[in-house]
Amino acid sequence: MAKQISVTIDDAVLRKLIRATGGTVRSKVVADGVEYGIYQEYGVENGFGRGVRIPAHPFMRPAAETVQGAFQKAMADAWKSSAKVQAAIDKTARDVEGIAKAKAPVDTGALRSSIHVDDAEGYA
Amino acid sequence: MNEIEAGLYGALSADTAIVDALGSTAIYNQIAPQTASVPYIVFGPGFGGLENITPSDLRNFVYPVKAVAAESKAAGTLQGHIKSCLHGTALTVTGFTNVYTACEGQIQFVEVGRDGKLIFHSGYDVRIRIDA
Repeated sequence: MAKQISVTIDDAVLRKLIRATGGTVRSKVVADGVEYGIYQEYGVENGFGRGVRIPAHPFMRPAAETVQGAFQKAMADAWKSSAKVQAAIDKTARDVEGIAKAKAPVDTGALRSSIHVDDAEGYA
Repeated sequence: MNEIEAGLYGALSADTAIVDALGSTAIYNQIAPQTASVPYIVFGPGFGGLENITPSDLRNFVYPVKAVAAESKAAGTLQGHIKSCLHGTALTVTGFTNVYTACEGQIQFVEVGRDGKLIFHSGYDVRIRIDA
């Protein structure tokens, strides 16, 4: 015998955020611009193209982790306007960029210099 | 190797599914020896630190744990074994109580090795919370 239950979901903040943005997805991407960025992040077998194993030097994930709490707080207060939502996302992206640059391993500086904030179009 | 790393190594090397899939206990901390052949598992410190939100010594770390293999299938199989071994498991961390262990972000990429051969990396970012 099936039993019907009632569940109330408190999605008031989510609804307000969707209303504030007009249903538009707001996003930013923080990326590096060198092909070996992922190799530094996770470590690889073929480091420097010479088959040298290199250990992981995470820089992007720690940056995202660091700003997570502040981002959640900012978004909880950002539902009042679309501009605030966008401002919170922009600020968070810039913070991630700065922290990732500070944590990025430096040899020539190319990796560090290539870390940037971008619009989400074109990224999967 | 610190207490957490010893706990991770202990859990991974005691897992018969992992040892069977590897054909050995080729499990390394931070970096595999240059002479080691694939497949192997490598783990190491990712990020995290002291929480400082309780009077106790609560710590929150993320350790990437990944399999490295010459074939996608082998890497994927080991990835599954890593999750079975670590997700929701109480690690033995000397001097601490392991309050939380969970596989979070998935690690999945392929690199081109020497001679143009592909090398598959598959695993998880494993979050470990300990308290003393």
